[in-house]
Amino acid sequence: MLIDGIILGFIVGFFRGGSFKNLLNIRISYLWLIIPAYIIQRLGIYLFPDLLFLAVPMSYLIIMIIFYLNRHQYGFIVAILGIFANFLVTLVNKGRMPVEMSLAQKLDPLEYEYLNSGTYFKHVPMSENTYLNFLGDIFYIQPPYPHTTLISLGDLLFSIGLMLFVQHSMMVNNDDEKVGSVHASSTKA
Amino acid sequence: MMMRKLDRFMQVLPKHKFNIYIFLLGIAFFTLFFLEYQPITPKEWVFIFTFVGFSFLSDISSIPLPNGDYFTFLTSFLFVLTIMYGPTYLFMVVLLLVVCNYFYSKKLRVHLFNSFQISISAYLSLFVYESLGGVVGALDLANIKAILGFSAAFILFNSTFMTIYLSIIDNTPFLKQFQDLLLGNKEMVLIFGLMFLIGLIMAIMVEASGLVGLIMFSLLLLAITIMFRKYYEMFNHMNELANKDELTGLFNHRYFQTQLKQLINKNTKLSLLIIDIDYFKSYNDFYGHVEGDKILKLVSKIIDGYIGDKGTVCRYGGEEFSIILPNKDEHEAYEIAEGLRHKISNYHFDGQEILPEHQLTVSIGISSFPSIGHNKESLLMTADEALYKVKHTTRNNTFIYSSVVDKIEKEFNLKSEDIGVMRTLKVLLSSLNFKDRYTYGHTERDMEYAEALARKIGLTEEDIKFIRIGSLLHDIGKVEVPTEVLNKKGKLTDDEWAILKNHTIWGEQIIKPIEFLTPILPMIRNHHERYDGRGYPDQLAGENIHLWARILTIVDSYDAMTSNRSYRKRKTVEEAILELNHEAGKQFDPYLVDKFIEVICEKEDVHKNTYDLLVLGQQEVAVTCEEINKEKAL
Repeated sequence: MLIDGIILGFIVGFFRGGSFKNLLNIRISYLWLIIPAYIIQRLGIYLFPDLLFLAVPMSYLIIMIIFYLNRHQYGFIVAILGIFANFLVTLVNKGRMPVEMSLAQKLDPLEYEYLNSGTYFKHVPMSENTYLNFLGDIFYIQPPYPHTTLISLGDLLFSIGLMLFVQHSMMVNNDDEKVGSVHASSTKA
Repeated sequence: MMMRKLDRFMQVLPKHKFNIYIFLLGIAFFTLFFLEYQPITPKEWVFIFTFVGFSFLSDISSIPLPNGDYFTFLTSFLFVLTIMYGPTYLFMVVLLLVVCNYFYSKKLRVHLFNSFQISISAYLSLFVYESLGGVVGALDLANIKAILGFSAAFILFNSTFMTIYLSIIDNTPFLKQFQDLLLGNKEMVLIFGLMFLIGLIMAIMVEASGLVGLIMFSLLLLAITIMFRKYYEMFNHMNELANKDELTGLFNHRYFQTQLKQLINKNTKLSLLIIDIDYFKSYNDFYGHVEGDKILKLVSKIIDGYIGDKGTVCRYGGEEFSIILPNKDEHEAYEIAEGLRHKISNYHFDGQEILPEHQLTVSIGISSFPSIGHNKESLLMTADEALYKVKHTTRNNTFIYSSVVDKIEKEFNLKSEDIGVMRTLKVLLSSLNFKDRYTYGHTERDMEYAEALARKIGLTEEDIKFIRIGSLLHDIGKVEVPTEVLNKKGKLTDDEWAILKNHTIWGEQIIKPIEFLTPILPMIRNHHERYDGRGYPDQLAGENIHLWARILTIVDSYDAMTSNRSYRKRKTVEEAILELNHEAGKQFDPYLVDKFIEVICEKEDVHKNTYDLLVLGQQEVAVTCEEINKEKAL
């Protein structure tokens, strides 16, 4: 969904008359934190399943912190809300994201088989035993949208936030924005 | 103490009342929510979230209307929600809407109130819908009765909740507010009707193709909203172009006229300032128009910043600005004008050194409605006259229009037919004023000086009365002189001279039929005679010239020397005194000259010593006697 948000941002920005060149001016502080966040999540999923209940919410928390530190950026508040929703739902479900089973079956029968017999990586079948189900994977994105997938409200908000950010960055010359962090910077194109 | 406490209590009360009102609505909301709650499946959550997203978007992107109101498609979304999905959806969506709105713009109380009242209204309307045979979730277009019933009930409940809110905020009776809101605002009912119609189409879409239908239709609505807003921006832009001055960004002449007309038609008390930048032409000539435009912009900014929301600032034209100050009398306006004038003269403008006073200044004329001008034309004319009075005397000053004619009317205790005559003379005087801008302040100052001189030589009050009116009217014959001759910059031809000289005789003829003014006839006829007998029209000499006329000759010349004329700068008092002294016995009665110099020395605070020094020292005077004579003749 990360990619989807960015591509949608490109499209919207392009049609609003924005320029790809402006994307070079994007400055996000503490972006390197995304690496430990990724490592923690992968470690939890592949090597230490016992610590999954901690690893997944923790990685969401780190991403949330990155976005919080850059909260003045356009659209990041929406993205923060999205990550928070995911953080909350994985926290109360022992590090796993509840999946609406009928939709999972429609999406990928193989994955459905795995899920049905327990858990599948960080996913868990939605039932009376899972909590905050409405924040789970319930949005079945289908054609005409080109990328068929099953996502949660958090993913959706996160994508919208990214989309808003990217298209806005294409519109505005970020030179006059007061970011001013020397710790880390990254350019995205 | 007691009273103050009570006052404060009363002030806080509406706010408290509003809080209590929201609290009660909140209790109702959550009670209903709890009673009606049905478990929501994950798939239903998808619908709810989609609804929240789109109704939030439509809520924040309101469509403005030219009359200042605006509307949103939120009502349409609520209609679909209630009719198609029932109360649980409605309450949940509205609750999440508060959260979204709170993140978007903090005003929590307002969002809570809106969400509570709108959802309770929809919930109550649902009863009407069901009692008329409507079924939640099954749209039946044949049952138009139920749909109309729902809409009418919703408008009614919504208006009721809003009225309670308004009567709490404004502390006005409920029924009056209700009437204003519902009956005085037929457009609102129309817009609501439109919203329900759109809601109905959305419901059909949702029934036909579910979530996809909802998304498609919502996107369409959003596109329409964006388009409308763009059009509105364009409308606003055009509006501004029509009403604003391109260079300064102030309102333009057209807007000024309409605004003034509207206010006067409404009989609003107001004051009018007309502001003119002094010596702006010199600045423009010296630095060019590009720099001149910069100064205009800067001055506009200062004026606009100083006036703020006290009034409307317009560019009247060229380097002239006009300010309408509603609900201010001329004295309040004077305070404001003086503050503004000081602000501008204290401001450092680039290149102001080349101006005669080495600083950029403004002259301001003030008039008021209805105390001075009785209609738009006379208001503008009087403010204009006051401005020109400043222009021809000191510049960098503020004058309130005052009419000497009105004062004289009081002094003479006139009979009613004579009042009519005076009015006519007043018109003649102001038409003369438009022919020859210089006359206005000039005659008034003549009056003051003549009066002072007459007192000095011990004339009676009765005489002084006539001398005053004589000074005022002495140039009235100039109305017959063509404007080209009056305002000619170069040398006059002999023919033109002959015409100009005739103004003394024409003046006498104009005044002759007015019985009570007979005593001033010699003053008007003979104020251009010379003591040595070389004047016009009768070549009288010495004591043969009427005393009043001799007085007038001196004060008139003195004022001519010390006023600003377009072709030369005024003389200082000292220079003028020297000149008078030089002409004593030639043009002027020497005795009167002596007395008049005393008058000036008292009035203008010049020490007799200075004067003596000047005379004894035989200082060179810039302007020669001949020039003064020419001046005088003009």
